Amino acid sequence: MTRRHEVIPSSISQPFWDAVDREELVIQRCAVCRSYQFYPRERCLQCGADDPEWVTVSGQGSIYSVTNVQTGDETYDLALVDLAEGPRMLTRIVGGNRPAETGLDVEVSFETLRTSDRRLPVFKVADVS
Amino acid sequence: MKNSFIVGVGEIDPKPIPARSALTIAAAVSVGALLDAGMDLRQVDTVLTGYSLVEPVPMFADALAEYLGMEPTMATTINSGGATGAALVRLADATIKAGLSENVLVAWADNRSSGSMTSAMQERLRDFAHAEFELPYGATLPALYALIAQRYLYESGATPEDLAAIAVVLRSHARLNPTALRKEQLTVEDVIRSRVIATPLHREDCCLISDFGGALVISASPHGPNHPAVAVSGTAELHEHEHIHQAQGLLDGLAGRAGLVALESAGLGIDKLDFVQLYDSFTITVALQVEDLGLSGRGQAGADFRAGRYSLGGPLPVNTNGGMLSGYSGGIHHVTEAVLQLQGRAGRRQVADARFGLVTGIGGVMSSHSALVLERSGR
Repeated sequence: MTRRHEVIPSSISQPFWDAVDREELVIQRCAVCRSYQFYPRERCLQCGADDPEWVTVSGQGSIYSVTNVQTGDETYDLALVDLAEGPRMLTRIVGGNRPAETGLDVEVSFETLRTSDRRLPVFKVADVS
Repeated sequence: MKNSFIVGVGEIDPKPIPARSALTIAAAVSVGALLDAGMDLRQVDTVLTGYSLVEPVPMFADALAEYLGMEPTMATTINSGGATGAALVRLADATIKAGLSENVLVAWADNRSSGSMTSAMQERLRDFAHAEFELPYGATLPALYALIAQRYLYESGATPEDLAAIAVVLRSHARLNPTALRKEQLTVEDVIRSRVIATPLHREDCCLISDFGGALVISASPHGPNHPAVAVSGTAELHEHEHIHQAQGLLDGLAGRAGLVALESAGLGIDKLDFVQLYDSFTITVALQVEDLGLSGRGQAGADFRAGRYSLGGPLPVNTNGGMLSGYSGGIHHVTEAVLQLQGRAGRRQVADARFGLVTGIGGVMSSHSALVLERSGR
């Protein structure tokens, strides 16, 4: 039986979830050394500076790896996506006109899944232009 | 530099017995190890244990000491996922070398299939995914290893059949092990036809969830009336990340790194090993280890397993008791099996004249890594 996992934001991650509710993907970027990091922390992982800023990112990425998960209840594509800005996220590939494959470019979308109690950033395979 | 010596070993039959608790299994194998060492409980000054996923015992080492009626001057519970088994021996070796301990009891047991709280235990297995940024997507532990496997196939050109070949060889070893859980013949076709868990991993690519229990007595001196002592010649640990999406170099040699460091610390060439007991949560875990240890070329692990390179009777047997893929959850049985092999007590699965063995442990999602080089002492 699929269980809905509750997302409990912390004070440091609240801006991320507020942005998701606005259908925006935001990632921390250090004000001093400009590196991006995810998941959010109080300090920059690269240089140690306090209070990284939150910036809206492009929503573009590529699939590092994708697996088709087959539980008793449902089937879905779980993936590791590398954002264009650098950080990697664990996410789902949803919808799209072609099957999800490692290496494909993707774009962020925002959906509610059966396994979650709130909307999450997910990714769709980008249309070939 | 003084060595530490494994002077006693105890193991439990993993078949589930209703109402058996992690603590009672731990106590039983501890008593077995002490008997094997010809030692009394009162000679032990240090108790090191792993953790239970099933039972809410927050201080397992203390609980075990109390259960056995011991008052150790050191009792530590290690929670390092699948790296726990080898990490326990590493810590015992370190405390002995530091002069803190004389005789250490190492024990790890859990009742993951006979325990009454199996659904709670399944939930705790999911805890290996990040609660906020992974779990809500429906991440399960096999799915996360499947992500690693998919990337491995993509980069190396290996196939799901190559991974299946690993399970087939390990099962052939289990058939020689009286206490293995799964002994029925397994073919590559059987693996590929078993239920898909998350592509490319099928049910038979995944280790079983079983009861387990192993204990060792580790001592500053190689005494022991019955069997040759086993020296801890080299150890290593490595922790690169906790959660999969934070990993920097999953396929950059990570899986073999702790083993190579342990060999270096022992001053031993890998060609001197008589066997390897590699943490086998999944077939992919084994494939990456043999390749990252430099034993097989990238993408070649499956082919080398097919060719018999890692079979009993072959150049370098892997997981001589059939591994976790044939039973024995957790990883402590890789340690106890290595000891039995080096002591010449492995029955029909005995590696002839075994003198050096490597044991590994991997926890989380390739998160925590531990490795031991063990050596037959004396004789």
